[in-house]
Amino acid sequence: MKKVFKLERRPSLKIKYDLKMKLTTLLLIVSLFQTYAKESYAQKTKISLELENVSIEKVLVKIETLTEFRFLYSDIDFDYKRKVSLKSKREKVSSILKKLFLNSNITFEVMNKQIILVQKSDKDIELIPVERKVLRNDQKKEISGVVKDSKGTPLPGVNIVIVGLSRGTETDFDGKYSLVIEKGSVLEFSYIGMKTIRKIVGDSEVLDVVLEDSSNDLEEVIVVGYGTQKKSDLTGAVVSLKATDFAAGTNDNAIQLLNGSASGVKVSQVSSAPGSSLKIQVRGAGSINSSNGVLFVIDGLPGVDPNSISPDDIESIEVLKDASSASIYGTRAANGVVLITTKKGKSGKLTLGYNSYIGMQNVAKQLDVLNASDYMKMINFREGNTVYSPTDIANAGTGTNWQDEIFRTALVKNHQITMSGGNDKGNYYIGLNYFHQDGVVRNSSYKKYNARFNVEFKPYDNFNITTNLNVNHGDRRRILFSNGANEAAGPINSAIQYDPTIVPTLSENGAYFRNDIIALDNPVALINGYSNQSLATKVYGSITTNYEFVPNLTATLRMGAELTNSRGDTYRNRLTLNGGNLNGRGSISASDNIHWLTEGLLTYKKTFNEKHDLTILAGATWENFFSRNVNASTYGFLSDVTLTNLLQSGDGENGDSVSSGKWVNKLNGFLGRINYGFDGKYLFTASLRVDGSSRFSDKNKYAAFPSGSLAWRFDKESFMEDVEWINLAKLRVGYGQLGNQGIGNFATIHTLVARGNAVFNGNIEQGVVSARLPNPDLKWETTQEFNVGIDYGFFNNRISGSVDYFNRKTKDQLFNKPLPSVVGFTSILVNLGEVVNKGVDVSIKTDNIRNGDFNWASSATVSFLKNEVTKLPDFTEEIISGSLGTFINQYTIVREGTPLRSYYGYEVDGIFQVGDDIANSPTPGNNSNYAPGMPKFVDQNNDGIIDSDDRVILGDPFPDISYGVNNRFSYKGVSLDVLIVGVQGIETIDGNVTESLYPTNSARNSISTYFLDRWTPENPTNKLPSGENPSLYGGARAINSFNIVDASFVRLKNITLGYDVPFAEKIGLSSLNVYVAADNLLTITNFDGFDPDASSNGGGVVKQNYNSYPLARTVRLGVNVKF
Amino acid sequence: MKKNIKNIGLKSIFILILTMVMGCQDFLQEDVYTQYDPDSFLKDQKGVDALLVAVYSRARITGYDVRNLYNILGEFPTDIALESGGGLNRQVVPIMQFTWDPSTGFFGGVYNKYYGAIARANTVLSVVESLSDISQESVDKIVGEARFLRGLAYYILHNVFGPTPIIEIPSGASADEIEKIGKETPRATEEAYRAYVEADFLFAVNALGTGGISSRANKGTALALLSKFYLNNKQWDKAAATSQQVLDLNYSLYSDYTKMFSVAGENNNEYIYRFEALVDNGANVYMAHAFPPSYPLEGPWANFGAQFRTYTSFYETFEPQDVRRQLFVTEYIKPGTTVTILLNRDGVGNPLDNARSFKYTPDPEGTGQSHGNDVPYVRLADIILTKAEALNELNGPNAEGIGLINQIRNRANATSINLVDYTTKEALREFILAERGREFYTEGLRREDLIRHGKFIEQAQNRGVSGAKAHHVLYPIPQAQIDNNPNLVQNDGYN
Repeated sequence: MKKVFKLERRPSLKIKYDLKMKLTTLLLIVSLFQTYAKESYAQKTKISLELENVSIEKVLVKIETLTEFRFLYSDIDFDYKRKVSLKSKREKVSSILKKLFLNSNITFEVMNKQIILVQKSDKDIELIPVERKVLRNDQKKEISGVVKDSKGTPLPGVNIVIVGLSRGTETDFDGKYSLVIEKGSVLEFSYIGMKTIRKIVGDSEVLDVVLEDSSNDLEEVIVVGYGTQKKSDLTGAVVSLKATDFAAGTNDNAIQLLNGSASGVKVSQVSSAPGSSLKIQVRGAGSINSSNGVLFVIDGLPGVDPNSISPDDIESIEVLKDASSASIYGTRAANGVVLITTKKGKSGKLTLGYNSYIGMQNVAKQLDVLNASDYMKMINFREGNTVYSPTDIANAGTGTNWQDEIFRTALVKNHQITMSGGNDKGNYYIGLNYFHQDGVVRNSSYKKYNARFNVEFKPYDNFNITTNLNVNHGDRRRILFSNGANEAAGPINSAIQYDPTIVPTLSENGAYFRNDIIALDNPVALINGYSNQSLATKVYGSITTNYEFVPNLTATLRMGAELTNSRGDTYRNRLTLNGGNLNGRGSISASDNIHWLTEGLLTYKKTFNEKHDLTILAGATWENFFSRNVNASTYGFLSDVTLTNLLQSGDGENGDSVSSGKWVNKLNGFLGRINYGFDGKYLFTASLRVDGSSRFSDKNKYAAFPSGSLAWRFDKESFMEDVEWINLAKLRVGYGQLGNQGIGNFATIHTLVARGNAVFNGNIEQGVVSARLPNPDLKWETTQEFNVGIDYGFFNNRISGSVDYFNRKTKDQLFNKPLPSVVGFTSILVNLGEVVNKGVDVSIKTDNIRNGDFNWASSATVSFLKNEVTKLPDFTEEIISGSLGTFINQYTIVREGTPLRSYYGYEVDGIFQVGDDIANSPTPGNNSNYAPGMPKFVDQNNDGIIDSDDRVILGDPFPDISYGVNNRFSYKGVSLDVLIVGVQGIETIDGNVTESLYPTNSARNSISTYFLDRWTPENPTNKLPSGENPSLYGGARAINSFNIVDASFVRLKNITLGYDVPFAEKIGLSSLNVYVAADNLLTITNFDGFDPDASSNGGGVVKQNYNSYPLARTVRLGVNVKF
Repeated sequence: MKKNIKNIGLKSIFILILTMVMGCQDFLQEDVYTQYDPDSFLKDQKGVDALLVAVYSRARITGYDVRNLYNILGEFPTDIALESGGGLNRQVVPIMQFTWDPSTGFFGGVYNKYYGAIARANTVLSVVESLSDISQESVDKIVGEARFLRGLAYYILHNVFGPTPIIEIPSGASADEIEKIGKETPRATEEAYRAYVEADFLFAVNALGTGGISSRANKGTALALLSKFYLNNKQWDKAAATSQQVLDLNYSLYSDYTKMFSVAGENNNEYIYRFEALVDNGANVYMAHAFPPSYPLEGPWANFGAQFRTYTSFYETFEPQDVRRQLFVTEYIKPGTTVTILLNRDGVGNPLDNARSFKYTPDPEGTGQSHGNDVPYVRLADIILTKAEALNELNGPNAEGIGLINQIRNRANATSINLVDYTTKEALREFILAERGREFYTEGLRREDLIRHGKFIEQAQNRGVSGAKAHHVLYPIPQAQIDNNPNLVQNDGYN
């Protein structure tokens, strides 16, 4: 036995240590003993030790003597003189070492028979297994190689040290080096500005090394349209989120991961029903009449539904916010592009992971409606006579709270298993997910099954194939969500407005009790009597081949497809009024969608003279969208038990209704992009996309969408050299154009459609009519955007982020230009009008405290947005529209100089009091019956009467400010994440307020305050109208400042308390994290309804709240395990 | 050492796929699957027939159009009927209270519907010209039907709005030219309008034969509509002469008034023009509005929140034995109880204005709101009373007129009237108006009858509708149309 780790024992060939090298000098011990052939030595070998008060150095020597293990370690930061006592009996060496180094800064890696001791912070070490051979320290050999950077440029002057031996060399001008060393030695390569890496010398005599740029946020490679780019080279406004940046919560949809985490991106949970879609807006909304939908691109496949993926499979999400970065997606990029990249396997052994949570959900907030006795009082008040006697009222109690009858506590579960691995010839990733959420409203749920297979083959260095496949199946049960008239309305609508004096149970004859005057169906009947199941299977994937057929020039061929097969079954049974009337009503709708994509790209990438970085991309894409559907419905079933499974048992003569359709549209695009960078300081990007669509006439089939952007890293300039606290300062300026396809099929051609039939002698005859007045001049809606931004990093990047200002103008808006209906068509689609969105997006990340055990980091995003309609066609000064429920209409306006779809109605300034001179005040129609207790509308034009000219803008559906703040605190293994999101300066229309003020009929229940806190002569300071004769201040006046309300809120979106279990390894796991989380714990808002964030208009621009599915408050327990 | 692909085959496949895709010609050609290409579809008469069916479809008053035109616009501003309850009430109150304005939705609905029908009729007229393999007889029939339907559309528009623009679009007009016509054409003068509609009906009278089903245009339907057009325009002699032409045709009064409007009775010889309804096509939805709350339904029928009611004062104008009164429900026993619900007057005799017209006798095969009762537009009874009214206006009361009125009354088992009791034109005019009410309630004719007799506004004021003004005899041109055509002049009183 030799003394193994004394430097002086070695031939002394000292080279100058630089700071980095200090940490990395290790000793190498090579075993002289024979090893077992196959089974892992470390697993098999167990030893017994009994040592009292000896140095660690001695312990290691002892282990070396007893086993074939040899230690590699640094002698600088390791107190190997520390005295310890040890006692073990047939224990694995690893567990002895764990005890030995417990509470020290040393960790170890066992590789074959070498044990490498490193400092915990020294994460950069790259460990490469040495071939399993007897290694002898006298096996000296010469090794040589070339060191290059990631672009393939040879690096001269790279410092190479034999770890532990303090000797080494440097690369020459061509990046070459050679060294005589022992086999099994570790070489450390370091170079300023590059990541230091270590390599173990194996059998090979050649060891070529590629150094990556040094670890820094900026060196991240992020996904951009049709390629990747280093973050530092970006010239456009792109938000890049890694899995650790995602918003936490009960997320089954990729959009939710962006909530509050990406500046300029506004995510709204418009409905909290399980599996429902979300609203996402990137930098406002530019289109008046067309879709404002964001384009989602999953692994290069555009247009994929972000719900059809397991969020756990996502590696990163990039949002291309400005036109210069998004315009490469041409016609579908007008509303922003979100790129989702899924996970890949990494080289190394199989990694197996399991993530799971289970949660309990409750309705976060119920509406406060009148209880039975107050309801009776209200009916007496509304009817003006005694419908209910004082005894009735005294005996009524609270009655039925219908919300309690349809809401419940519900479970949510999520399980994800991932497997991944790979080697230098390829890698794989498999993700399996099961998500099951029961809704907080009874009879609603969502189950999602998702499997993902990502495989990459690299058979040759210049040729690889990547395949992504995602299989998704969703099973969604929905309640009837409808604000339709009377019995067509859904259970939430009914639960709020139904009669609380009725019991929620079945009567003797098996029917629910009803109040006929209310004309709504019983809420419980609507829950139990209605079933709606939608099944959707979505399979999508792509095969991408990259082939570098001449150096620096890579050809890419991608073929992808998305197949969606969905079917929805709806059945109303005899418990409901509708189903009872018809003896059951069932309908099935099924559809197939096939979208395929083929695209070819050529990429040329080269660095000239070390300073000029050039990338040129050219490509072409073809896409085909096919859809087909069939619908069948009938009524008059023999029995309810067969639901939709036996439509033929319905009333075939009268009930049967069928329809079907088929549509195809196609897109063809050509794209090109040049990126040029000089010295990493001056960066330039220009792109052009030419897109064509089958939907446009030959006149305007193709349109071009150019963009250009510049960036300047002025922190790299000489005048900034002395400003050490600035690590990054980059100015970006960009401009680009984006398109919006907007129109449907056939808008430019004349077709006839089967529409309109007549009955002659009892026979139905089918008619045909011109489908439209075609406009062959139609073209794309075009968005032009100017963006200027700064990326910054201060104090070793402990403060970093970006600020962007944008101004985007959307012109040639598609408008249904109203025609005088005398010509037989009421409108023609034309391009006119302009909308401007401008604003500022700010993001900031700070590392507030970094103190070994205790760390605190924050990140925040703030977006300021101003939306304005700047030009309307001359044929219309304004467009007034809006329809909520059946009877709330005409509340939004599109008018020049105001935000798109602003709320438009009457301003109320208090209540008329007894003694006011009402007769001489402006009132609606100056009706002589206008009385105290009725609202004082503001006579905006001072003409002495309240009429339609007195309407004003009462608000708009765009938040002035939206923000998200995430704080992460960690102390040793415990972490606490707190996510707060909020919006300020956004308004909505609250249909429940309208309904309370202007009930559809007198028997409908009201939100309590509108009855209990109404104006009466005895309570003249009450601010709500008297409720006497509401039609006098209703009708067109029903849209007013009572129901156009502020929807600003601050929400504690998520709190997660996590714990990394320290004994994970003892129980055979590589890591174990457990957490408890709460979603939507607290919302601060002035809004009265279920959820200020909701909108019954789904993803549309107009925000409207009326009996939305209530928000759930969720508490979850979760676990993340790695095996 | 780089390991590079050497395989020529792989290279070639790669390049082949690229070129194949890029070689796709006409990739962006738009294919039509769910619609028809007009060039191939309209080659023969079958295509034109389908176009004509679409005109019928647009012109017919079925489904909720019955409610909107007959009940809401035609009766709720009159002395016969009223509405309460349901969400519909909010929309109907302005009609009952005479507070409607040019933006009230019902008017746009009527305007768009009938100009749509006119445009479709004009399309038929221009397409039929271009057909070569078709007999003159067939051309005449198609043109006759199309012009009848166009005349009907203008007739209804005239009834609601007064004279509106007469639109004809040259075939092959571009979108811009079409728009120009729409934006510039002013309202026709009353005289030109009448001449145009008269010409359409007269063409149909000459082109079409008699007989056939009453849901399709024929000589009788055209004559009947023309009679009504003359009547409403107070062209008494023409009304008298044309109605006589109808009376000379082979129509007869249906013996049992109480069965006439049921599904069983609808194929009668009294309906001169009707809109056919089936449970599953253009269903009649009237009854869902007429059933009182908790009414014992005999089928799987819907009973809406909106309640269509009858004024007690109108109900009581019938003689007790008048069979037409039997189609009203005035009381019923609430199911599961022994409680009798009174509708016409309460227990102490106060009027409830709540009798229910069950004229469209519920269809035993009906489901939900959908019943199969056809909707009459012109009945022989209407033409008989048209003749009687025209004669009275021309010559004052005479035996022929009284006889015609008594035909109607006798069929209903009401007592005959005698010429001696009606010595003045005014007295008989008043009786005819009242008799028309009793005969045609729920058929949407009351508004035009009251207007023709100059009673529309007066009666509303008498009911306490203080807002009713002289200009309300015409409904306003929809605001959107006024905004869109500077030459279109709004009706008086609506500016």
